Amino acid sequence: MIFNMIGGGSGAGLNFKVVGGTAEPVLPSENMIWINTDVEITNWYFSTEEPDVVEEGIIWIKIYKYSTVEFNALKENGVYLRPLCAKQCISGAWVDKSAKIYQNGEWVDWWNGELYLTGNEFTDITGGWYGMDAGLSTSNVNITKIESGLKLHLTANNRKIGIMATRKPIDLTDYNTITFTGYIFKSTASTSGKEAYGYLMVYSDISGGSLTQVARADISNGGKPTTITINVSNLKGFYNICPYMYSFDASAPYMVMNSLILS
Amino acid sequence: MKTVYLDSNFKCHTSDDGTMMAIETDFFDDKCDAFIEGYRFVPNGESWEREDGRIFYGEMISPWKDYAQLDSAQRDYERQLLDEYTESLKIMGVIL
Repeated sequence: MIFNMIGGGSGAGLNFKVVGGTAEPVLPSENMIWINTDVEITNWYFSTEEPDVVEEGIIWIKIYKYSTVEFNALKENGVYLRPLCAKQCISGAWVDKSAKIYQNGEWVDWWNGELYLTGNEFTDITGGWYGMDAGLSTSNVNITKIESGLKLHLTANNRKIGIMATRKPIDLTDYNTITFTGYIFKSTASTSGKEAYGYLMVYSDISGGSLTQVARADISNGGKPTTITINVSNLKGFYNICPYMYSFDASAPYMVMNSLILS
Repeated sequence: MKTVYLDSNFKCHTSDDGTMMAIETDFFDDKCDAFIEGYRFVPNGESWEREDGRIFYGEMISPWKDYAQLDSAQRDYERQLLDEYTESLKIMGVIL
């Protein structure tokens, strides 16, 4: 059901509309923004920071560089907005609401914090994924795309550490958690009797040439698939988020990442 | 490896008040007390519930204070150490 349709219209010169409702609009127009909500929308704001106005029902559409759905807000000239996410003021608190925008004949999901989701490296945001060792060298670590995700494996028998990394650091300022899904696996029997293990590491920006741990969570789970979430609510600024693997034995262990998502 | 002490909310302390759980970890190697005490350490097998109801399972290590403050404290500590080492070398007659 659609019960709101505010903003836009030829008289205002705006090139978009904001609508609310729990059902996908049946007559969309280019750049129509659909906010999935059952609370009446009273107004909307586009801003990078939380609005000072706190009124029941208003929508705050956060604009940010990580958006993947840029649009021109005006019919003439250009004011380009990059919506990232939507929140609605309900009972005095900002509540997350899912949103889509209609572009080029289809509804497009807004970026939802994904840094990797099977098959998609979100290169606009991450710069793409690659593998490295503890010395930041890429020589002995390979990343390959497999059906279920990204697979990192060590290419030399005397290497023990493999790390997946994005080419760009990620701004964690507006995010509270990171969730990793994947697993660590050692391909042959351990001669030492010790299992390979892994962490979801958060490092200070590694472009400076060092690995400084800021936070970490254990993703080992005895070699079985796991979903682990780490709290990053007190990290502001840019960090590298890196699935990390350590193998005690040179027996070609590998690590698979199925997804990595900010929220 | 360092021994740190965890209170009931899994916040790290550098001394035990008699009620805390001791754990050993390499995460805080070379870190000053102010840095360590800005962290939360949820051990394997434990879980911690954040104010918004989200539950996190161990092992998880992450700051509960603004990391920028912790980083600043650590840098001050390292600068102080460097000053002390430099002074010691001077006393020994080492020309830098």
